[in-house]
Amino acid sequence: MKLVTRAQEDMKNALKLVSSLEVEHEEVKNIYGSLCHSFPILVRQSGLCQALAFSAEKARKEDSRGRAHRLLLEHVAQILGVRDPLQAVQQADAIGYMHYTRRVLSAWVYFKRFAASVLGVHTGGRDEGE
Amino acid sequence: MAEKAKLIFWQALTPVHPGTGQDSGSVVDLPVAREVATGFPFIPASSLKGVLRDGREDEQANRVFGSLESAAELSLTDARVLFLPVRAYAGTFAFLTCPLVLERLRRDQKALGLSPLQAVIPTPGRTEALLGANPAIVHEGQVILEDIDLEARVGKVKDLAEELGLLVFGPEAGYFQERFALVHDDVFSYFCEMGVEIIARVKLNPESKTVVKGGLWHEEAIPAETVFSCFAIGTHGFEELERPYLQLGGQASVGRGLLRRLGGGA
Amino acid sequence: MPERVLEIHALSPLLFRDGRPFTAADGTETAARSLPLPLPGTVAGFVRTQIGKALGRGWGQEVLQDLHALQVSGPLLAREEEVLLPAPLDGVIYKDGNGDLRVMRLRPFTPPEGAGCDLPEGMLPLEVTQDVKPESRYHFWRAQDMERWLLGEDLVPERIPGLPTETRVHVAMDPVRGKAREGQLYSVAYRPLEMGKDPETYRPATLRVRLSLPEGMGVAPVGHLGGERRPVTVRIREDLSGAWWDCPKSIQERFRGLGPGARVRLILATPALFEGGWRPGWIERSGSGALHLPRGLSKVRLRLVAAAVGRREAVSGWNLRQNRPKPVRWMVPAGSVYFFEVEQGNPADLLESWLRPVSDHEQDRKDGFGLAMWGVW
Repeated sequence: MKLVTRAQEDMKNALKLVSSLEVEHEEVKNIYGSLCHSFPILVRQSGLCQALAFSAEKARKEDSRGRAHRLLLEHVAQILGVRDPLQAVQQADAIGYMHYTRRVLSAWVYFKRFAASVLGVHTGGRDEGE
Repeated sequence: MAEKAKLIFWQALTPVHPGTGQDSGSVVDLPVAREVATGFPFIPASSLKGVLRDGREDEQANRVFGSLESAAELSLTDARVLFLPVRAYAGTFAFLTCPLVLERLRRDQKALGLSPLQAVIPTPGRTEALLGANPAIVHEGQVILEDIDLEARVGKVKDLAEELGLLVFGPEAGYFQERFALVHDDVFSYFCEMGVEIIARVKLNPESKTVVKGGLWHEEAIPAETVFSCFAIGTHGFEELERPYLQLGGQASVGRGLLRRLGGGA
Repeated sequence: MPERVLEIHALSPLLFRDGRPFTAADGTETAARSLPLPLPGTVAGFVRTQIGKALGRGWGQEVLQDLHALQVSGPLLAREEEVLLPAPLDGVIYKDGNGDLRVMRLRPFTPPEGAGCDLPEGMLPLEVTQDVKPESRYHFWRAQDMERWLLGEDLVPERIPGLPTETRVHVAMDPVRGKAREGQLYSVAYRPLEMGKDPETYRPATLRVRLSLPEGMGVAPVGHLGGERRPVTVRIREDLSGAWWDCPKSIQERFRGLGPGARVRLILATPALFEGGWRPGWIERSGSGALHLPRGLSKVRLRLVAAAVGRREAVSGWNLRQNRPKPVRWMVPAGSVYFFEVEQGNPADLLESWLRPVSDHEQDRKDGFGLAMWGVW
């Protein structure tokens, strides 16, 4: 019986994923770090589906903002263990949807922490693209 | 003299923020206090008592609420969420509760020798909302709560809706009964997290009127309309509870934390 | 006097204070911690108060003496209807190289020729067979797991951390300014009588106490337990055996087959108070037929071979009758284990003290300190 709690697993993954940003351009780092703070708030206020749709929309642009949102979506996909998070969430039933929302929110506690400690971004602020 | 117990209810008229001063484990900077064993929000007994006492140090207040020399005649329990309002596609909002909430209430009523809830408390499926006889929150066979759709089961908890309506709201029972929905514990727990409001607060630089660096934070608040249950236990001093309104918790200056007293037969 | 089991239900999280001082003033300890369970003496005091209230004869000297004389055994923690016991300190739960959970049983052993240790004369050390990091949060064991452990079987128990803690930060409000008063901030860790972390894992819990209630005496149902007068209710359980953990048949049978020379083990279900600190004062007088010993121990002579004793814990409190603090005394924590060899007498007689107190002083026993569980090694 292997026992690793989900919180431990989330923390490890969050550290790995946030740290992968270190090689990125400064602007991408800052926007991504800021998203780590504002994304879970958007999930809480508007629901997971809308929060993901917002990022999917931004991710289409080929600039730093687009890159940051693409990375965020990739990281959500890894946490949820799905290929396309927006599609997965849209197709989920009520139970699946609640599960995905909880997974994202509990994991993003760590993304928020590591955005501050690894990337040095301490608050969300308003994403100017909003 | 033997202790008596009374069940009382409070309803939030504006969002309430019973803080904890901690932020670990939440994506929000200032979350509301939550019960450790359930994760449901609550108002600590000490907050209620502090507001009822209102800083009074006179003889009456010392006797009822206690002093360093003598124990209080009246104690309160934490106020637990009984009905959580959640935005609904039809009927504006639903009053949600779940078997765990009602069974805990019933267990406490029995333990205190009060007459317990009589109606059967069925266990809803995870995708069901059990409703009273004439619900106002059904849209094409569903109860659509924020982004969760539940199957409406009309009339499944008619007796429960009536009993709770009468107990808590008395003459206003109708407004409650048509919005009442009994949902699975897990669904209730989800909305205790997702249905709690988030309020963004900013600190402005007084000179430039711009947000100071690090001056944005998010606070949780239990939404207006939420109904809480609590017990008052004691030998005397129940008259202290005879107040139509209370103002509780932080941010009173921006209108937070206004509660009205409901029913309870005291 | 018929024996009864009382069940205590909490209406809000409780505060079980340890002996540390605590105030909201600047520069002092501003955090109050909560013990995993209330001390036996605290619960005994609560139970006597409820009996006194129901008696309705006031609190005169005679009434107080009568109440003080009541034997109260407890508290035991129950999760729904299942009795839980403090984890035995001779069992170490760990993960092996594959990440699988294992239990290491600590047993007395004779060091090889030439090796030694600084234990008191005649005592053996306990053998640590694996160099491992113990797993955390195995604080309570289910009664059925404890039964097997007492019989010497190896098992990995269910992980039960016990009652969760709920830390609340308190401030004193200034009613005029509507703000917190300067320097009036403190935190208190409470324990709900409930387990879990969400509705899925939620389980209600109660405290159980056993006592001889004289005919015609009852208990007032509503009262206050622990710090800050937090409200609780108490009721008499009619099903004595169903609400308590009577000595299992398997253990009775095992003890019936034992004779002089048998190796028996005592595990404490509640903290104990002994004259010799960690060492029970009755060991030398066991089997001597002396009066005023814990039940069964005057009939069986025991020799102490080894012990697994936890770090000492402080008990003090406030003496209401004399209106001054009680002097601090040091307890042996619950879960501590004593390994004995039977020198004389019938080992089965030891079971007379099954979940009954074996502290040295009679009043400490009446307060429920040191409830015993017996097994073999």
